[in-house]
Amino acid sequence: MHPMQFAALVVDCFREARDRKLFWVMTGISVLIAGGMACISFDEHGLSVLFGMWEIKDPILSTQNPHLPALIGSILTKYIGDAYIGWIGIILALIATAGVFPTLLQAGTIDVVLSKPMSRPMIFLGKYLGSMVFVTVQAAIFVVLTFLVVGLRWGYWSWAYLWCIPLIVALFSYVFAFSALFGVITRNAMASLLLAILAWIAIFVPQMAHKTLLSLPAMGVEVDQKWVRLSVIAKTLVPKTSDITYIAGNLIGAAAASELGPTPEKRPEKPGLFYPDPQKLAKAEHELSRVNPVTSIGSSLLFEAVIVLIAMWKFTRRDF
Amino acid sequence: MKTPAGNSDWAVALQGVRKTYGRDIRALAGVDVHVGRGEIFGLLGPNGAGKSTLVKIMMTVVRPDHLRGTVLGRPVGDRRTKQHVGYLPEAHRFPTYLTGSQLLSYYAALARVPRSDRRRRAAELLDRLGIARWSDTKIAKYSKGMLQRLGIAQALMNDPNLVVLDEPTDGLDPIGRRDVRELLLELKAHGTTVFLNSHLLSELELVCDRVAILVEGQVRREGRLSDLAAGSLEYRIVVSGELSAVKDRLGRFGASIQECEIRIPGQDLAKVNQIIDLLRADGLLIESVTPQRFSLEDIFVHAVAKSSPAAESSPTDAVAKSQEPA
Repeated sequence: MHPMQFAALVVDCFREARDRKLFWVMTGISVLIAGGMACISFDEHGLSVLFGMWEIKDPILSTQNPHLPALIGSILTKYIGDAYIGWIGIILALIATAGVFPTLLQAGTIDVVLSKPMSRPMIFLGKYLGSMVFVTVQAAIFVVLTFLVVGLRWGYWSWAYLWCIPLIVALFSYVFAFSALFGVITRNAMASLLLAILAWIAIFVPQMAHKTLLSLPAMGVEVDQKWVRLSVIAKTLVPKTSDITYIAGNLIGAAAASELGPTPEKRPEKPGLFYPDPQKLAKAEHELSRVNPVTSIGSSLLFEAVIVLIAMWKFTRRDF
Repeated sequence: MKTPAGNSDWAVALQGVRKTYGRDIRALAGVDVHVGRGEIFGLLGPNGAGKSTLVKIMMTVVRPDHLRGTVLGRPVGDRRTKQHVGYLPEAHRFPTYLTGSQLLSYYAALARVPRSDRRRRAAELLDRLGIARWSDTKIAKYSKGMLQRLGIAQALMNDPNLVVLDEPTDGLDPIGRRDVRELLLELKAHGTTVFLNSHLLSELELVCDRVAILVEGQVRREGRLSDLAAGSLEYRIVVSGELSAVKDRLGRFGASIQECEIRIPGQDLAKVNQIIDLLRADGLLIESVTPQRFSLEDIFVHAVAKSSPAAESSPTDAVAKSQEPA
């Protein structure tokens, strides 16, 4: 594909998303979150909110605590990464891009595009990558803003945090592949969005099962190892969306949950659902966070490539 | 005059085009179409004849079951050729989030028109089509006629050697239609081949050099308008009096009788004069003798009627039948 054609498709993706106002909604949310984080700072006494209007004096939150960077890393990973980027941000990005293929494929629109000197696979890839560029820009806005706030206000310059930009794009791309496939099949933005979210949930199930099976021993439940092995196989086959948080956490240097919270003094002798064995839980968390980024992202991208190839094949073979 | 993109004498040469949707919806059943370079070619046909399918196959929007042929001298779908082809689909839907000039620039970029040429060309075409002052308005606010003009501009952004227009005057008022006709003639003078697909026969008649009539997925007739019309010339003699006495003798000349009117197919003046002599010898008074050249609509109706179970013998019969009350 000629760079001029690719640039035109990318710019068109931006214009379409901007028309849906979601570009500005997502940018606004990024600014709000960064602004909210800027209202928080850490000093030698603890945490200060709204430039000293409200203070939490706690040695754990003090700049004197040598583990504070790990705590901040954990905040970035667990709350910003997991909650916003991992779910809300991806859903917003999916909404913004769900219409890309249905709009392209509507009768009277696709006719003109197909008459241009581009092959069908290139048109598909142009739109697909155009959506990726859109999400990359959104991810960059969010990550760079929060990176600057954490550096300037919290005094913690985590350059590894910038790895979140490609990680967000990778996570989005795992799910967007389904959105593109269902967009080509149904030619309906709402249907492609809902089906993509369903697929996202479906690929989340084996990952959740794997995590649960590893955590159950800490809660006093014995698990047959064949189920654990089966869950490993199932998890290996699907895109590993939940690994992204662990990869980001490992890169940033986040503390494990067990390192942060104080251990309850009165703990029942026998571990249970609400009182897991801290040592076994730490072991499970350690096991889960031991993610090889290359293997995890590589195998996930391979799965994504298969979905993209099916979508492209459908697009290439179809009459309009 | 433009330099041809390929070597063939034909701008479009399609042979044996077949397309069946699903298992049994046969849209095209072996269509052959030839369009000369620099001519305006009209494709006619009733609804469901396969016109849009043929155009979409040319534009690679629909995949044929079978196709041999070239567009601008290269195989259909060749990307180098597509760079020199402009296309306006029927019932187009352009992205409403773009302004007029953005839309032209977007599609021109996809056609690999350099950025500097895009601006100049867009300004020229928007001005030529009378929508220059709306160039920075989002097309969501455009009227149907303005959208049609914009669609035509879009098809011409790459200064094409071949432009394929599917119902180009759809939604245009009479002035708009005249503008489009003039534009088509300008394109022809410029050396551009124009492939028109339209229901408006009177429009086609005014601009087309050649036409093809597509009926039930097959080309029923194809040729120059003058040639098609020549074969359909007839003389009509209106007489005063009863014709029953001469009916048999008129039949020998191949003439047909409808009340007081005698219809003589062809252009044989000697035969017409013999019939006049016969009528006068029988004491009949001749009111008028009129050479009748059929319009494109007559030829079209005849071609379409031929495919119906009760086929008509001549364009006259077909036209007359089409005008009968239901």
